[in-house]
Amino acid sequence: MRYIRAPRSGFRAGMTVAGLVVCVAVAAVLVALAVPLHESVRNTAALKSTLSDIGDWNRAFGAYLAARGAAPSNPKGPILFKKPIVDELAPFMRQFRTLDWWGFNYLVWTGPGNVEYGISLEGPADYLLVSTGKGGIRETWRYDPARPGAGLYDLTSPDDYEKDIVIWNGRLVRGPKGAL
Amino acid sequence: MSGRLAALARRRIDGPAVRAVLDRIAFGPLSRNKILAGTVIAVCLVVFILQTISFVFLWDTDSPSYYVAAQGLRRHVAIYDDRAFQDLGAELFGKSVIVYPYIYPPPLAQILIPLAALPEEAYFQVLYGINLLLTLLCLYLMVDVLELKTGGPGGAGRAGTLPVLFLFVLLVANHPLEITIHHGQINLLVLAFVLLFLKFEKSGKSPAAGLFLALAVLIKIYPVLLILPALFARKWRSVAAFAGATIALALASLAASGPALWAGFLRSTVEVFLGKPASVFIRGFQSSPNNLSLKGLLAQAVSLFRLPTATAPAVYVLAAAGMFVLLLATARRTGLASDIPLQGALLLIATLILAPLTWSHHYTVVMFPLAYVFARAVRERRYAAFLPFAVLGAIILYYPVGGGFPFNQARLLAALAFFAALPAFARLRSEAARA
Repeated sequence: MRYIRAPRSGFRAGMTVAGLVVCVAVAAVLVALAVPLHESVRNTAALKSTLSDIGDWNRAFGAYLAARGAAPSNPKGPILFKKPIVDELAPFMRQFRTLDWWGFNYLVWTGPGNVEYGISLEGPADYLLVSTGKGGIRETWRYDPARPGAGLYDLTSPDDYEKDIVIWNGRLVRGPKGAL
Repeated sequence: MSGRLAALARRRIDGPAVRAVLDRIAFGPLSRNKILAGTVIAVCLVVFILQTISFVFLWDTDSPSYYVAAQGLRRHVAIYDDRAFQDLGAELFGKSVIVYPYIYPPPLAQILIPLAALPEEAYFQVLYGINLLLTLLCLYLMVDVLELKTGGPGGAGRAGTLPVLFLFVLLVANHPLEITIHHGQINLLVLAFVLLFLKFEKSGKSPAAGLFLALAVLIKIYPVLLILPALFARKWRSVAAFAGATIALALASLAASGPALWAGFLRSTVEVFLGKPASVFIRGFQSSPNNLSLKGLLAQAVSLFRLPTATAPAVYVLAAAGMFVLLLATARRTGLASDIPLQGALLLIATLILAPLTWSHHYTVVMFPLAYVFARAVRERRYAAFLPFAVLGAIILYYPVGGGFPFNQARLLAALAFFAALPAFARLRSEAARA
């Protein structure tokens, strides 16, 4: 037989309407706090994962350059599966992602003739590797040769996740300070 | 006034009181009002069509691939040869359109051959229409399999129209379903075949059940998991019906298109999934942030945390074994052996978790397990038991795309929790039934 504990004196099971209102209010406050926190943590994780990927692509570029002496063929923009660059770099990577962690394609420009972000690619070994950040829209930011570190920023507001991350020949020229 | 407010605040809303209100909603005259039910259904259908109609003109990713495959068969192109396939894709759509490789078994391309006779715009429009009809067919079959209208052992019984209306609400609030239609995917055909399998398996019509499961498996391989309960229960008639239908259909396909096509498919499948290294397409897609399968999660974890590559297959095998041990361990207590809708609900979730590539549109099938839990929660008046599933369902159907690891895997993690909680839910039911 099941033992059922008798209620303590003065104790009644259930909840009052006032108690329910308080619970709903507390839950609403918790949700109001949790939603922005969740958004912030997701963005931090997305940035960290994206930087890890960019590091992988960057190492693959380095290994490819060391082996072949020139950057992979000349894609102009998004890394997509059917572009030769993916097949060319694949042997130098264990796993690779063509999308950043906000769901947008990484962008790559290689070889002479490309001018992006005010950076002119001049040699066959030159390349630019870019994530367009949370919004997926390219910034109007331009590289300033007189101030090469001016593109680096501290993450101080949610808007900073919208900024692009730009690697030029293995060097971070736009992105969070100390990211690579 | 303040006295009345104080009295209201002190009023208790203990379990029975809340249950009485919910009972009134679920079983009262309102739940039997056919005009109200018809209005809700009509509104849901209109909203659903408005949500999706623009996809007739904004086709995406998968339908061009199917179109190229079917056109390839018409023109005797080797569709499993990537270069030949891409050349045909470029000829049909121009080089600016990315046409994904065709990695499905040949029968899908074969059944699309008549549609591929149409110009591509007309093909996309017809495919949209077919997907709408298939959506309605799936809802009808879910109502049938879950016995939502007639009551009975697995049904919602006297719960009126509420469980049926829940399905129509799911139709509108279902992001994976929306993406399925946007991509011109074929999931709904597969789901319809799976539901037909469950329907006929329930009524003991093994040949028909086997035929429909074979059709599902020959379009997408993953529903093969649904034959496992028959294997464990030693229902050899069901197993033989499925095996016979699969062989017969494969032979018919072979006779229609020749052995080279099947040889190409087998070669490509072996290379894609077992080859060392796997194809660039699969290696990249497996670790894509959007691959919401266990393999995807592990591939991401391995590459992000620089773990040894061998970790992923070992964890995958252990997790898969753990899932089946959980099912076997709880089978008797949950009534799993005799509850075919429950088997279907659990194994459909298992396919999402265990398939090598699971995109968000594959999660459309979660409609069935959700409807299963809802119908039973209402029928057994265990409303609170539905709440965790409602939360998990909301995550699966609406978690925002993107976000860093492991946040991008929220849908998969919710599916895993759903899978683990479903036997507990079913077990509570059987305990309640025994009591």
